[in-house]
Amino acid sequence: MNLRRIIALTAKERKQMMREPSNIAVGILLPIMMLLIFGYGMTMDIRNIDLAIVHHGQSPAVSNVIAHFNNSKYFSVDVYHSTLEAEEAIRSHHADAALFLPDDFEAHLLKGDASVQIVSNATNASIARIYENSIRTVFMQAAAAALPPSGTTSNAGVRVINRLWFNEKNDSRCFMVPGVIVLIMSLIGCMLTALQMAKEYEHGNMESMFVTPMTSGEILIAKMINNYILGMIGLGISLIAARWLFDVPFRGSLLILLIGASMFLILQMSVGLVISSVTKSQFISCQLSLFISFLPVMMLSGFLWEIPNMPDAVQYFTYLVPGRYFVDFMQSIMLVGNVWSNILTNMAGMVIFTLILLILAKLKNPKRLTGGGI
Amino acid sequence: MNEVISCRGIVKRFKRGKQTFDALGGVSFELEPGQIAGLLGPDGAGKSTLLRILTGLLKPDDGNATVLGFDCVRQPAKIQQRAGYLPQKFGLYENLTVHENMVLYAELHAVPRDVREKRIHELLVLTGLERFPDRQAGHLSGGMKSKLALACSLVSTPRLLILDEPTVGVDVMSRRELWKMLREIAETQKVSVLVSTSYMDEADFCDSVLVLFNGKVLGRGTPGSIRAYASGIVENPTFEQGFQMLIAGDVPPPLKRECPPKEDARVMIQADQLVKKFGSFTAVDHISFEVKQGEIFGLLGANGAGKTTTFRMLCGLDPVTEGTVKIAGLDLRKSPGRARNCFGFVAQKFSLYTDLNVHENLEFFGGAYGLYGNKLQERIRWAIHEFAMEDYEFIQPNELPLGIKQRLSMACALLHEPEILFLDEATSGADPMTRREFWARIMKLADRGTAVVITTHFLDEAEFCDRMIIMQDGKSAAAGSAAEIRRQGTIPGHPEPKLEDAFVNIILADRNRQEGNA
Amino acid sequence: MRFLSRFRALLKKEFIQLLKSPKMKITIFGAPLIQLFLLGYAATMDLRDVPFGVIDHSNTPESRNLAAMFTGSTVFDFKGYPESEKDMGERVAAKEIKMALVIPETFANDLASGRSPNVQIILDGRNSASAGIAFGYASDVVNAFNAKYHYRAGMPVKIITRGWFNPNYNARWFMVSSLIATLTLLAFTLLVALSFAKEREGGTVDQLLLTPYSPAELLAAKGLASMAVGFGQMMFCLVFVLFWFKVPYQSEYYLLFLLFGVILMAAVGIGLLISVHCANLQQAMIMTFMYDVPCAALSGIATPIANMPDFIRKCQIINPVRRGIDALHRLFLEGCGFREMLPMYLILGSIGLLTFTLACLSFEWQRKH
Repeated sequence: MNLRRIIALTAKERKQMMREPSNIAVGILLPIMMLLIFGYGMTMDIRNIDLAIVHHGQSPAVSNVIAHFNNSKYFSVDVYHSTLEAEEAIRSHHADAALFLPDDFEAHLLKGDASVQIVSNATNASIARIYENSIRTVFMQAAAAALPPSGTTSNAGVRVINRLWFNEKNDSRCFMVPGVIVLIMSLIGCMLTALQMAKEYEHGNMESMFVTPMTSGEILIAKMINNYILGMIGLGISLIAARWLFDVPFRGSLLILLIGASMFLILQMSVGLVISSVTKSQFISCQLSLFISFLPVMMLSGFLWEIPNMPDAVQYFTYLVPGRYFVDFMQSIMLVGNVWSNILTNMAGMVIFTLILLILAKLKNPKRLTGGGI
Repeated sequence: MNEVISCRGIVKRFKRGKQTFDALGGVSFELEPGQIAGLLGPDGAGKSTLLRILTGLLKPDDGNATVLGFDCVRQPAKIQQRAGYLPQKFGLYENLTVHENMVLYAELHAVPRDVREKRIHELLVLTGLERFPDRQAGHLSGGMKSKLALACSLVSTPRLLILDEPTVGVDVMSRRELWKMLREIAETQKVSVLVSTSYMDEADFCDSVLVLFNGKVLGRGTPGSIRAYASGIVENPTFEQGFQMLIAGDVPPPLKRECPPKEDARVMIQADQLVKKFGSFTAVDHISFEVKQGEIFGLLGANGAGKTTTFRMLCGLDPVTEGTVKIAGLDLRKSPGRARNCFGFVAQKFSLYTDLNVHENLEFFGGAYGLYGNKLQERIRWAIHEFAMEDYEFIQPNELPLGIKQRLSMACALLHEPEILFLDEATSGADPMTRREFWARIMKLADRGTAVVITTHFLDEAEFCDRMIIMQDGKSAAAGSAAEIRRQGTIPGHPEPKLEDAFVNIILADRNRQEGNA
Repeated sequence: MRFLSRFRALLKKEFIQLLKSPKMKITIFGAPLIQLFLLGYAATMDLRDVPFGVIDHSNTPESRNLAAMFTGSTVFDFKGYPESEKDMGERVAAKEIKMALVIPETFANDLASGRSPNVQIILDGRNSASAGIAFGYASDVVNAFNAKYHYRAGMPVKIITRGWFNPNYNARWFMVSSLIATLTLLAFTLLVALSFAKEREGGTVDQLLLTPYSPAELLAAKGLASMAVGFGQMMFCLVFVLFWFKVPYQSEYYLLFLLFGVILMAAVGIGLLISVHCANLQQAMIMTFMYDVPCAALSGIATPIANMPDFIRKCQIINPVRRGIDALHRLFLEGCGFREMLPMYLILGSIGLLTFTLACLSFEWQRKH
C-alpha cells in the first residue's frame, strides 16, 4: 500500500466521474427521486378506502353509521340501496369493500341481535385484512354511539389501549424513509462500482494498470473512495430530507450512523467488485446487480416485509442479503436510539460479510490476466 | 548478468474452441542493454503473449525468463517498477486530459514532485503534445494517442521500454516521428527498447530483430542479416522480402492488375463538392471525385485529415452538410435502401458480432442483403472456401487472430456480390502476408469490375490504387494516379521519390504554405 | 419474399445474441424463478410468532386468564414476564419482544365491580404497518377473552367478513401473480435497452446502418426477438405460478396470452425508446433505472395504490407495471372476460406502439442529423 499512488488514482477516478454525467445522476438525482417516490408515494397508512354502504331503509342508526364513516379520514363512502349494485361496484373496482346493513338495522341493533356483513376485494389479501379491521373499528364506534347508555355492571369488559412506541404518530414514513436510504446506498455502492470496474476490463485499462507498480488492493481502494464519497452525499441528502421534509425522528447518534453507513457502503461496493470481477462485462454486470443487489434489498431486507414473518428457509436466506443488516440498523438508530445489542450485531454482520467478499474479490482478481488473445 | 532480457524455452498454451494450442513453443532470446530490438512476426505469431509474459501479466506454462535481472514469475512487481510497458490498447483514460494522464502515471511510479512537472514538460515537448495539454485523450488522433501513451510510459525514467504494436493505426508522418523519438530516448537516456510490430519497413529502425512465427523464433540478428536472406533472389532486397524468404522460403512476385479500368467505364460513385461541418469546424471542405467500375480508389491523408469523415459521408453513415453523393446513379439520401444494396463495407474495427460464430455472422450478413435458401448457403460455402476459413467456421470472432477477423469482415461484405466495396483502414495492424493476400483479392475483384474505395495508412499500398486523393485539413492536397502524385511530390535535389516520400513532401509543403498564409 | 428472408436473418441474429450464452440463459430463466420463489414466500404481511411479554401488575387469576389467551394464540409467542417497565423497554428496543401487554393493578377489581379495566398494548412501531396488524390480532384476542368470560366490552353485533376473489386471504396469490408481469416488464425493458446500447458501444450499429435495413426494421427485429424470449420467460413463470403456488386461474387462457403480448410490447417499446437516446451502456442502464424504479415502486405490489397522493394515482393509468399487475389479477382472481379486459389491452398496446414509433422516429432523425 502506498498512499501517494492511492491519492493519484483517487484523483483520476474523481475526474473521470465528474466528466460522465450519468454518474452525477446516480449520485444526486436518483436519491432525490427515490426519496420523493417512497416518501410521498409509498405509504402503508390507510387512506382513501372506497367503501360502499348498503342499506334498505333510512333510520337514525343507519345515518349514524354513514356519518361516522364520512367523518373518518380513511374512507370515501358511496351509499347504495341494492345489494346487486354494490356487488357490481366491487367487481368493477369502484369500491374496495362494502358494508351490508340488514333490513331493520336499528331494531336489530337495539335488540342486540344485529348481523352485518363486510365484503371486500381480497385480491390483495394483506391490504384487504387491514381494510376490514378499519371498517370494523369505525363501525363499532358508530354502533356504540347509536346505543343508549347502558347500565354499569353488565357492560364491564376489558378495553385495550394501543401504544405505538418509537413511532407515536403511526406514520409509515418512519420506516419507509430509512429503508429508502438503504436502497439508495445499495444502488450507488453496488451497481455503480460493478459497472465502473466492468468498464475498465472491457476497455483494456486494467492491463496498463496491472503493469504499474501498484497493487490490486490500491486499484480497489481508489475506486471505492470516490463511490464512497458519492454514497455519502446521497446519504446526506436523504438524512436532510428525512429530518426536514418527512419529519422522521432521529434519536441515535449521528457518529454511529455514519460509521454504520460507511460499513454498509463498503459492503455493497464489495458486492459490486465481486460481480464485476466474475463477469468482466458491463452488460451482464447490469443484469446481475439488478437481481443480486437491488431487488433483494427492496424485497428481502425487512424494509417492506418483516423478516420474522417469512418462512424459515427464506429467513436464513436473508442473511445473504447485505441490506438486512443495514435496514435493521437504520430503523433502530433513527427511531429508537443507540441500542447497543442491535448496533453491534449488525455491524459485526456487515464486517464479516465484507471480509468474505473482499477475499473472494481478491481471489478472482489477481494482478494477472487470464487467457486472452494472442 | 548483463542482458536486459533473457528468456529460456518459454512455452504458453491457450485454448481455442475446444483445442489447446501453443501460442509460444519454446522461445529463447536475449536483449543487450541500450539497444532497440524489434519483435516481428505475422498476426498470431505470439508477439503480444511474449511481451505480456515478460511484464509479468501472464504466467508461462514452461521455461523461465528474467527481465532486468528479476524473474518474471516470482518478482513481477520489481519488473513493473523498473520497466515501462505500452499495451496494444494504450491504456489511456479517454476522459482525462493529456496532462492528467501524465500526472497519473507519474504519481503511480512515484516520480518525485519537484521534478515531475519538468519531466512531464520535457516529454510533452519531445512528443509534440505540448500544444494541447488540456485536450481529453479520447479526442486525440491515433498518432497522438500513441505518442501520449509512450510519454506516459517514459515518465518514470524506466530502464527498459516494452511496446506492443505502438504504430497500429498511426499515419506515416507520426510513425516516422515516433521512431525518431524512440531512437532519441534510447541514446540520450540509455533505455533499452523492445518493440513488437507487424510493419516490416519499421525493422530498419531497429538495432536487432527477432522474427517470431507460429510461436517459434525463426530468425535473429541485425535487420541487414534478415534482408540478406533474399539477396540471392532479388537485388537490393527489402526487409519484407527477407522476412518472406525466412517464413515462406520464397519471394512472391509483385502484384499486378490483370485488366486495368477502362476510360469509358460506368461511374459508380460520384462525390460532388462534399462539405461536412461540425459546428463551426469544417472537417471536409469541398471534396469532389469519381470512381469508375473496376477502379481502386485510395483516400489518403494523415490522421485527422478528414478522410474517415469523407468516407462515412460516401457510404451514408454521416449526413452531408453540402454537396451530393451518388452511388451507382442513386442519390443516397433519396433511396438509401436500394443504394446500400449495391455496396459492401469493411469497417476499421471489423464490426462483427462477437456472440455469433463465423458461420452465423456470414449467415446474418448474407441474409441482411436479401440472400436466402440455397443461394445463401452456396455463397457461405464460397466465402468459407475462398477465404480459407474452414478451420474457423464455428469459432466466435473474438477468439480469432486479427488476420482471420479481417478475412471474415471482407467475406461478410462480399457475400451479396456488391458492385462497390468500401474499405476503411481494413489492413491496419495486419502483417505483410495478410496484406498481400488482401490486396491480391481486391485486385481480382476490381478486375471483375467492382469499384473499390479504400482508406489506408500504408503508402506502399497506395501504389496498388488506380487513382487517389490526398487530403490535408479537409481539403484535397493532391489527386491523380500514383505516378502523378510522385511527380507532384518531387522536391528539388531528390528525383524519383518513393510514393511514401512524395506523400510526406506534399503534406509538408501544404503545411508550410498554410503557416506562410497565417 | 426477399423482405421476409432479410428480416428473418435479422431475427435469427437477435435470437442467437439473446439465447446463446449460458450466462444469458441463466439471467433470463434462472433469475426470475429464484425471485418468484423468494418473493412469493417472503413478501407477506401475515404475522407469525410475534414475540410478546406480559407485565402483570394485577397478578390475579383473571389477569392470568387474559395472558393465557394470548399465549394460546397461534399468532403470538410468549417470551416471559419482563421484571419492570424499564426491562420491558430494553427488550422491545432490542427486538426481543415486539409487543407487551401491561395489565393494571386494578384489573380484577375493575372487572368484578363492573368497570372496564384498560389494558395497554405496547407495540414496537419501527414497522408501523405490521404493528397495526399485530394490534388488530391483539384486539381480537381481548374480544375473545371478553366473550369467553362473558364480559361485554364489544357491541351486541355480529360482524361477518367475506373476502371476494380470494376467500382464504392468501397473500401469496396476490404476490406471485403480480410478479409474472413485474419481473418481465422490468427485466425486458432493461434487456432491450442494454442490447441496443451494446451495439452502439461496440460499433456494430454502423455496420447495420450500412445494410439495406431501415431503422424501423432494425428496431422491430430487436423488439420481436425480445418479445418472443420474454413470452418464454412469462410462460416459464406461469407454469410455476399455476402448478407450484396453485394460484387459481379464473378466465380464458387466450386472454392471458394476449395480455402477455401487450405487456411485452410495452416493455420492449419503452426499452427501445430509452436506448436510442443513450450513447453507452452505463447511460442506458441508469436511464432504465430511473424509469424502472418508480414504475415498480408505485405499481401497488408493495403498498396499496389507494394510499398514494391523487397526482400519482392519476399517473398510474400509464404505468405499465401497474396496468400489467392489475390486468393479471383481473384474469387470475376475478375472472374477467374480454370486454372488461379490453381497456387494459388498449392501454398497454398503445404504450408499446407509441414508444416504438417514437423510438423509430428518433433513430431516423439521429441518422439524418
